[in-house]
Amino acid sequence: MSAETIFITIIQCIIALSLLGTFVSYTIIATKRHKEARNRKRQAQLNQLIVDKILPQFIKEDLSEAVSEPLIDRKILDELALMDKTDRQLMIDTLIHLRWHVAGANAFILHRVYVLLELNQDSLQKIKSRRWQVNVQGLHELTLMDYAISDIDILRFNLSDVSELRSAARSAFMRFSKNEPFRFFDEIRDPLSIWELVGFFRILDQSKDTVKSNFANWIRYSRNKTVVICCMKLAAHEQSIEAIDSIEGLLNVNDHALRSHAINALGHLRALHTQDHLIKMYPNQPIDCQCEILFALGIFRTPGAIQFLKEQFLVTYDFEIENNVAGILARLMRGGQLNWTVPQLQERKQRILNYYLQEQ
Amino acid sequence: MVIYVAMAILSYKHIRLYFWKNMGHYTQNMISSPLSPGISVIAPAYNEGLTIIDNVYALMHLNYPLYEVIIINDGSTDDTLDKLIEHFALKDVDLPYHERIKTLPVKRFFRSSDKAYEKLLVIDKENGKGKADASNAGINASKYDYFLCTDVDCILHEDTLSRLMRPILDEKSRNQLDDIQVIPDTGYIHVEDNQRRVIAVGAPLRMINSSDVDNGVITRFRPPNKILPRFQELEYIRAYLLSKMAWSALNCVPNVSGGLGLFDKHIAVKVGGYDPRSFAEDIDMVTRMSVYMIQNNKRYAIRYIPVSLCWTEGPQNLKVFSRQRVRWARGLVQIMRLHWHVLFNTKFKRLGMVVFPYNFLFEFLAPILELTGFIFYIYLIVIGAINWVNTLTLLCFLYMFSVMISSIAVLWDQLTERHYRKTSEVIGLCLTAFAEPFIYHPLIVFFSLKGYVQSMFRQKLVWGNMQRKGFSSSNTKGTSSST
Repeated sequence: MSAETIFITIIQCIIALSLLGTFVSYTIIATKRHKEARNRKRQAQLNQLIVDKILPQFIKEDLSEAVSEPLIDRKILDELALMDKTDRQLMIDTLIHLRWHVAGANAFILHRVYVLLELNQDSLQKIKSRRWQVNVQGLHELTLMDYAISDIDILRFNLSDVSELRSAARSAFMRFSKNEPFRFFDEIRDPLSIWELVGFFRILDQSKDTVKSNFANWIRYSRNKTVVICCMKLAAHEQSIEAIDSIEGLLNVNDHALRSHAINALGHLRALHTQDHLIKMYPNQPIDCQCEILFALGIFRTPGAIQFLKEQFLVTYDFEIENNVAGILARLMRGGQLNWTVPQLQERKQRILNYYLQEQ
Repeated sequence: MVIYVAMAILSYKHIRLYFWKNMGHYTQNMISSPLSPGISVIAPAYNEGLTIIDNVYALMHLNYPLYEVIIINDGSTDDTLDKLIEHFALKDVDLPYHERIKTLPVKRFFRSSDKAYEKLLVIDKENGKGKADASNAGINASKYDYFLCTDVDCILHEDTLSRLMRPILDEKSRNQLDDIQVIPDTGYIHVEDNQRRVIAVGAPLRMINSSDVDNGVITRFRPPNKILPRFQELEYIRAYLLSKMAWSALNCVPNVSGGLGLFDKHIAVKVGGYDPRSFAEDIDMVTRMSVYMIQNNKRYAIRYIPVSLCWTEGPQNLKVFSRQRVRWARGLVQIMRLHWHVLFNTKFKRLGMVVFPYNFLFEFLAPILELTGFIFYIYLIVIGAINWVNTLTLLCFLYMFSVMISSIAVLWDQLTERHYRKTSEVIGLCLTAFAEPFIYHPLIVFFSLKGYVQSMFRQKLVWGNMQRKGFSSSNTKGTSSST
């Protein structure tokens, strides 16, 4: 067989494979769409069923009383046809979707429906799977439906090689650990992203009964910079006053990104005693740190801080700083905390200040 | 062929990973988070009087906690500015404006006196003969650290900002970070954090022709009925979901489209923003941003997400389409000429060894090679040296392979999101792939070559008007235009 013949044969095989590939693509598209349409229809039915028949029964019941017997009618359970795996998953998705939009007693009702229909067993099964994607799905379901699992079951995922799984485990741990929701900070070896922090904030806001953590230790001793930044932001969000001393220690680090986070946190925590230190360090700071100092002083609103802000506005020629200070001063003036009339203000500065004063 | 198959597999894996990552509804976390960084949405407008109000409304109803909308009236000769002033109760303001990027003179700034539109800032400037100059004015006036560049006639998904912001917030350094060194009483040594920084994020653009739009919201998605936008829809799906997703997985994204791109303002300003002289200002700026990062030893990434977030009206007739493609081709020549030093330069790492060589071989040289092959075949026919059986087999291979790749791209799109209501619409779009090699592909090659020839002879490029049908509502359709 000549080389040309072999080449043409290979080409013919690829043509056949391309034809097959095209046909398979069409088949998958058609099948997936059919399945999706069926699932959508079923999900709409389940949604309706939950809203019309299941939730009203729970609402009638006194939530404070512990009820051992399931409240859902056998008839409704049959109607749900929950033996089917796809339907069970659809039911979980429906409950999560509803749970996302409600809080308080309604959220608790959805949680109880989840448990009564034993959908939690499906989620628990998922965290035992060997596939990390399924583990993540299980952890998300349990977290979002507020079904607590033991710390040990979650902590083993913290050692996973997959960052998505570690991240899901941290969120779950934070949600369910009653004593120390941030204990995982001790073991973190990889960097935390701001995205994870956004999730932590959300969980904190949803779990008002969580034990207040002491972030001071991690801020002082953690060797992972992202943990330190994360803890400073959490301390500021939680108004954790005891963290102020540790944060203050970071005003002297050589990493200016870290320093600017520290200054920002001190501002949010209203650490008034750091005012002199901040003013003293101001001249030899990079611009992001200077802006954070001005922001912090704007929160302090002490006579000294306001005087410094006014001085900076008069002497600075940097556009960013000028605008930052003007914004802060205008806010103070609008709020009645500052009554400032400067007869000799440069025309440009006067225009900037006027702009911020008129801003809604 | 191997490259296309590899890209298809890689993009599939990346798409799957994206969806696993987004399983926990976490995008919604951003909507209420105090940590969400601010974004300035910049949309230049030139003679968009017909649709401007609906478009601005759509931009002001995005799901994101902290953003502003900056509309730049780029010297419109129609009633674009008047309509904006009247509808949004705009009043002149003396905005502190710092011209960090040089632009043509800015005449006035407007803000609304109605608190409901406090996010809106309108800039009136002299016409800059292109989108770049107007976008630069928007960047100068923006107050947040990130800016989203779009066209005012584009319709954005309500979650566009939170979805595009996620890759920026989620980027992690793979290396263990340095220990923190506290050096009290020794002054400050300002060190730079060398964590990988996402400098730009993009998402697929799609065609809005034939879809139903109500008050700036798409109520029914349809593949375009007209043949040219339909081909473009298929081309866009292929380009974004096969090519760019694969490049994103390898951190080798060559370009973030001018229609929808989220950029790091600090880096964009450092490189001088968009170049108003460029015919492909988006590729040019992304390339300069990448070069800047590499030359300053900073680690960076450019990311793409697989979810379609932006819908735009594609050229409906051959004249407008030709103008667009000729401009793109000339832009590519410009990019190759301007950044020639990057090509096969190991100093520029992936940019020099992967991104640019790919652009050079598969984008720039492809039309020239195709034309050469075509002429060679004609020569063989003329001298009677052609083996018809083998030739037809090879042509059949090219044809079937291109159809399969397009079909896979549509499949990936369907696995991502199902915008079209009917299966017949999807299959109809797939079937378009059978006609593409005969109609659309020769057109693209022809217009690219035309652009190259115009570049060689340095002919003046006419930006012209993009004839728009408008999509505000079914009974108010007319024609508007933009650069």
